[in-house]
Amino acid sequence: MSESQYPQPAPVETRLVFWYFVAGMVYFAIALLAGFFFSLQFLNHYPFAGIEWLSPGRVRMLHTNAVAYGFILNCFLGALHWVVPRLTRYPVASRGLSWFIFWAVQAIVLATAFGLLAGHAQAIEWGETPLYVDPFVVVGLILMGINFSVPIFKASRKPLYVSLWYFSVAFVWTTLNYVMGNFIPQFFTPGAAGAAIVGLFIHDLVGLLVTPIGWGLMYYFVPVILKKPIWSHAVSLIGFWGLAFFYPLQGVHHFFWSTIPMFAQYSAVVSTIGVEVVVMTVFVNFVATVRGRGEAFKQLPIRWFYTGIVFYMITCAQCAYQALLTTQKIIHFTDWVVGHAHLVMFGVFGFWILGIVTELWPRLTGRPWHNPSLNTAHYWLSTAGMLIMFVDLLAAGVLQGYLWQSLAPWEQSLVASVPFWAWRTASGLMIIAGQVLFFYNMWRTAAAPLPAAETKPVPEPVTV
Amino acid sequence: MKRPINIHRLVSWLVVLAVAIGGATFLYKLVEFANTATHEDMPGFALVSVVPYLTATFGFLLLAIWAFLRGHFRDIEQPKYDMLDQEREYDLAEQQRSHPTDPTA
Amino acid sequence: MEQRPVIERFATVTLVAGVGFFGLSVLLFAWLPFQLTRQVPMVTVEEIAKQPIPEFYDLARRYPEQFMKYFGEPNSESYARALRMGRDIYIAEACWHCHSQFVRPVSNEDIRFGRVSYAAEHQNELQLPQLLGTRRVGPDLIRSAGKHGNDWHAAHFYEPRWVVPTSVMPSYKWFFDPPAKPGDPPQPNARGLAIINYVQWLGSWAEPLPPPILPAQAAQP
Repeated sequence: MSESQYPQPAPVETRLVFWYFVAGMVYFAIALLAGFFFSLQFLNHYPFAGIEWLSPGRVRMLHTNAVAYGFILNCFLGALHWVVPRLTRYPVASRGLSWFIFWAVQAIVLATAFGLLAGHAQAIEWGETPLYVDPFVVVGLILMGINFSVPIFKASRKPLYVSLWYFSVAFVWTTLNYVMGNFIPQFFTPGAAGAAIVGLFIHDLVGLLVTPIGWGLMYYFVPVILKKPIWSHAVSLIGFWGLAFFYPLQGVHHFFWSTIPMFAQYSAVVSTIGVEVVVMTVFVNFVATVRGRGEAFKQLPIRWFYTGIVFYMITCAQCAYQALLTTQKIIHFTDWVVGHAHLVMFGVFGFWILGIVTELWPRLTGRPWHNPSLNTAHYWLSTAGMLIMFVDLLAAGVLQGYLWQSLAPWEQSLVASVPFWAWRTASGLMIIAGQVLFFYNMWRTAAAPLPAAETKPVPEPVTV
Repeated sequence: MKRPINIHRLVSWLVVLAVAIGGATFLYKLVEFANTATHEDMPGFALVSVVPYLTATFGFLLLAIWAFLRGHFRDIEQPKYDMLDQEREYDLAEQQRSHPTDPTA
Repeated sequence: MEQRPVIERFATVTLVAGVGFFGLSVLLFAWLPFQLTRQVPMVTVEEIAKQPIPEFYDLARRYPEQFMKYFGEPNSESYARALRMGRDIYIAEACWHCHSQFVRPVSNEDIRFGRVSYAAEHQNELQLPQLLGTRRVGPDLIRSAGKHGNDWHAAHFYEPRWVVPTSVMPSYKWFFDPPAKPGDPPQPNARGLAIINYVQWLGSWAEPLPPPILPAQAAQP
């Protein structure tokens, strides 16, 4: 590698990162509102009752899709545009392609939102994206894969850092998964076989897109902010390959006791427990990294990251327990699963994204945080709201499961759930309040005048 | 005289306990599996859920052992140091940009 | 660096982890279940529609003008059309996010809903994509055929709380045409007729079980 005498800046397209984060936060706000309004339906206080385009069922799909494709995907792409060039020392494949992908993602998310509200949804969980948008998504995923793979491939002459393993495989998986999950059950496999594939799709969207990118980002940001290498790069090898092997094999655990052949259901139990063993190694690796650095938790990003990591450990321990055929008798179909999903998507990946934005926003805008104490309040409101929601929905799930088993009239399970649903809405409001503070802080920071030191014209650095 | 609780010893015993309980349930499941696999009704049924796993794991293990014997894992910890060195360099470059008159640059 | 690493390389990661392990999962959990369920014949809507359910004719009698206007004569052709449309509405309104379509052999579900689900009943064109569902806010629907009358369903879709006071189901007023004269009840439109027909069809193929013995009854002398 040719290296000049002087340190070279990273080939990062900062404006792109900035706009990805802005887009992600806009969709995050929409997703939060959609979730809040949908939760009011459970209290029979839905404000838009009788409006077809804002029917609660459709708004529910808007909530989940805005979270997955609007919030998480946008913010992850932004973070990847920061991390991949810095890790590989190469820019992404093409600047023009990057901006094209940015606008394509926004167009796809908006088209999806329109399709869902207009009633064109596809009956694939997490893949409700209308059928006419799906081919564009596949093309977009392939382009994303190419855009990030080129720098990673160039850097692959040396052993790759663990983050890059995760990144290089995430888009391969997701492209394959998207094609499999959206087209095969739609046209070829009905019923049990279709359910098996949809189970794979639901699980792999979280497991093979969000999880690998999320962990890859953690493997980058935690050591960089701590200024301390990860405890063991070798142990991360186990984590990566264990995830790669076991994660795709678990999808059927979303349909236990269904008409899917039982061998598939048993295999899914085996691999679900298998992956938790692997997750332990990742968890230990991160805990050992931060060991002896208690003062680092004063830094808000580190606090977000490690809260997310602990939540991840909780969801995984929960996963090994809930994906047993015995526990499924009670908790399947209940709010338990909803609580689990919220802890994964917001408590883990949402928290990591918020930590990353907290870290990068001042660097992207070149301005210090308008008011750092708002960010602290943001952290505490989000964490408290998330914990309350999680515990509340878990309890509601157990109650519902036993009420159904007891053969009490169905309505009784609704009446009994109402207090839990009220608490769910309240905890959601806490989370929303935290994000409002954060959005306000982001806006004030970006709108503030540049600090004096930066305003003088900067001459190009001398290079040899 | 009261002895203070040795926190390390306590944690060690808890870990041993957890592993023992986990191991016992695992053993129970293994025995159950062996019983199912030898059941005449459906021996293939039980095997199909495990044999592909074992085959794929074994294949990957062979690849890993081969790579290990070729010495591929000798520098396995190097990338994590390279990564931080690079970051230091980027930070330095950024400082030079924002303070071009800095004599240390 | 003389030794070219293998495990940590781009090609290994994308090919072995990306394509290989994913392919293994597809083989085990998509291809194999597909092969096993393929022996069960796949039923098209036209085959299902050879024998319309009684509730379909009841809809034609109960709402004659509306039915004539949107579906014409009640026959196999209009029945197939109504089934397809009802399924599409079931998906568009995301009914499947709060109602499942399979009865499990556990948790007393066979007593609550009826016969445990079997693979053949999902092996039809209307399960493309499958609608098994993963959440129950409301009850399972795969055994709902004939549990309630068509008028009950019409009232329930218009305002669920009129028939089930504690329901949290949204009302679907757009399944109904506004009444011709003020004071008349709203009449179901094409969508209303189709979704009622679809729900009444769900489970119409499963022969009824003898009435269950509830634990409370069994305990009585």
